[in-house]
Amino acid sequence: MDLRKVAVVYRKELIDLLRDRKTVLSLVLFPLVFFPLMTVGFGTVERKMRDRVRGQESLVMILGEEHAPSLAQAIRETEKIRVVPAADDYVDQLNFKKLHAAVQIPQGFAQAPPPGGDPPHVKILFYSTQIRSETAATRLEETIRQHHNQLVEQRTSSYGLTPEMLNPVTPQRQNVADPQRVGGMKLGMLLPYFITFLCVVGAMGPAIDLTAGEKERGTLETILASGIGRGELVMGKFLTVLTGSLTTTLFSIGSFALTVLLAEDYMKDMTRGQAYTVSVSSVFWVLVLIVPLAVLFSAVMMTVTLFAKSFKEGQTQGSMVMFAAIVPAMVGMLPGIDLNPTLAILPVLNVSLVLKEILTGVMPWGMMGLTFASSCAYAALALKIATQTFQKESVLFRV
Amino acid sequence: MNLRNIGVVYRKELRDMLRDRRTIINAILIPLLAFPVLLVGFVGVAIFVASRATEKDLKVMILNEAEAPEVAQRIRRELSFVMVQPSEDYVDAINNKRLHLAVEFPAQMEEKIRTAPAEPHTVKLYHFEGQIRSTAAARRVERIVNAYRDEVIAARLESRGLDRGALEPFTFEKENAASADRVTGSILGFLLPYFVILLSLTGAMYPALDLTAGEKERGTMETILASPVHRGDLVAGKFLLTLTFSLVTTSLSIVSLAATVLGGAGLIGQVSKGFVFAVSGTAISAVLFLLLPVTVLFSAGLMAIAVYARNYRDAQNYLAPLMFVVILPAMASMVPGMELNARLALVPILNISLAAREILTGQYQWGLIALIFGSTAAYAAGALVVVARQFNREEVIFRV
Repeated sequence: MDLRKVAVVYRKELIDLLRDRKTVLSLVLFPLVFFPLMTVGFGTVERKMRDRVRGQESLVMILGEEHAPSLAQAIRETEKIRVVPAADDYVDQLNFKKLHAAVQIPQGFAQAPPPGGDPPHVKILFYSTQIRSETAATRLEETIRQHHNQLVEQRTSSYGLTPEMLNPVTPQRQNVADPQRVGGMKLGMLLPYFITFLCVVGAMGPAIDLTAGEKERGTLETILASGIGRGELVMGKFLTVLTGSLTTTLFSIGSFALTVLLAEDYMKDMTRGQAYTVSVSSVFWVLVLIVPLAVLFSAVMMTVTLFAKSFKEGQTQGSMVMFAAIVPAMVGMLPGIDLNPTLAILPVLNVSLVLKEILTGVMPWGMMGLTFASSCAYAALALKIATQTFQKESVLFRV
Repeated sequence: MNLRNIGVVYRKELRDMLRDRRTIINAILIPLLAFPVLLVGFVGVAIFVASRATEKDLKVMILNEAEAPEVAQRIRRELSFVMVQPSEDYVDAINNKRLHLAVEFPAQMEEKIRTAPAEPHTVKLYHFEGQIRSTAAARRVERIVNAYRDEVIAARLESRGLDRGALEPFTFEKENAASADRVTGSILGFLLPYFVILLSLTGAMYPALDLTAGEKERGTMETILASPVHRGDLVAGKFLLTLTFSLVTTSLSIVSLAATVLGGAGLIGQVSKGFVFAVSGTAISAVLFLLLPVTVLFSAGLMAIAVYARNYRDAQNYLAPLMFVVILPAMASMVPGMELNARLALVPILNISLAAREILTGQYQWGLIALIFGSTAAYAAGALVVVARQFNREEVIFRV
């Protein structure tokens, strides 16, 4: 293989690609606006909506108020709760969101239950999955719990007991994980997915253009007839596609890092309120692991789109590759999937899982090595197949 | 306008489309399969992984077992736990997920509970906040400690001759009062509007591109313009075909999504007990009805843009940003707390997204629904006028 010839092909394809301003725009602009839009845009809307729900009054109905006047009084005095007159159609009203929650107090609430019998049971009726209804139920629950605790205290002292005697032992959770790791968890779940996605998207455009697009324009024959070997041609084209993929990925990681640093306030929504920073070394290792993945995607994309007869067909086949690449990345998002040696040799999924660890501040060196090595092996295999496919006239001239 | 000519154009384009088998796959098979595969498959895997992750091999360390042998014994008996020998570096182990939970008892806990009843104790559970296996382990140990506490309290009450329930004035619980189809509806209402709006756009996209920019690329635009069919009839025929594709994709995807949710119900029901799934047919048809003007808007809008493009690829470049413009308002159904009002009912796409969510949860605000249908129909009509104009401008049609 003549490196100079490879460089000629690469430069030619790159110039071709850069001349099309729209391609450049989609390779660079898309990843650049993606992360800020996702965090700041969605953060703003979500926060605004949450604040609005928090500030809104809940409409509540008390059924059987006469059985427990003091509890009813406590509910009436709760902030942001408006009690509406009791009506029989409360279930309908709940279903039609005219009412947010209802409290059902049973008969004989104030009387002591028969010995061995169950204490009276108060029900809080609400519409599950409706945010205003759930907020109302939570507010009611809080008031009722306070009332409940007051009654318990009264009884305790009336029996001559102290509250301490009734509270011999309490379990208390204490977080010992590094705040950086706690904060990185949710991000570590989403980010590998987005990075993988952008890595494929970045390879797709150039790959289609350099294979199926070339067929469609009828220039494939011309280029094959030039004094450049088939292998050099593939290499040059492959490097162009790889450049596209890496550019998109680089810009997306850069934009992510900037978002983390600048939009700190919004990031807190995604990091459980923990301070989160990205270290230079973690960004570096993310990049190192992404390179074999980008090679794999570029080679596979080129091989598949080479079979396409036209640009249009290339697009369909390219989206299928994208779909196939995204699914393992999605599996990597699931909570509870942890890296192990078996998963570390599954393509795409392994990189997702390792990136997840790195972003939460863990550096599992052994797994990182295994993942890098296996990704490189897959990438080399894909590249070999791409080269071989370019040798087949039946594929090249499939029109 | 000549209806027979429109019919001729429509039939010609339809035959052209159907001959391309890939179109059928794109327009029909993918939306039909994408939902079941993505939703059921993904939810299934998620549930499987999550249940396995929280029910097996939770690594727990008891730091000072001697202080509370009874509670420690109960923790050891927990089936989902794998006990780890106590060691000094538990914080490190938790951080690196080699350990999920470390339990620390206060000094002489059980003995003091027996001898000094007035003294409260705290059991420390060291965990990794937010990590699902760590949280699951903490929850289990909490349950064990609380059960132990209840026994101690009951014994203390009994020693004073009091009944167990003597201190319990009443119990309380939250209970869902909404009917099953409403709860299902709110889940469907979260996802369905977004996906369906997106698919009615992608369904229109392929034919809209092929019938305008594709025609330019193949060089057949001139030929067809030279035929004795009026420009208006030509546009109408092409538009109707695009609309057909958008409608077919939209209705199939709605049916497929509803079927998936119902079919996947058994799977989800296994995990969240007592969850019944049901969908009302009226709601589904109402959503479909509301989507009619949207498909017209998308078909006409896409054609108006694509006809301006020089070739297929050029058109694709114009439409990519458009996808973004449509996806963002379509996501409104996923924003909790956003409610439909007269002003939002005039915002295209966003209004449909919110209204579809309301309909699926059983709410029919007829006034707003009429307003949405009316305003979307007006936008669609506007888009149609633009397409007709675009086709009459030679500098657009022959822009190469």
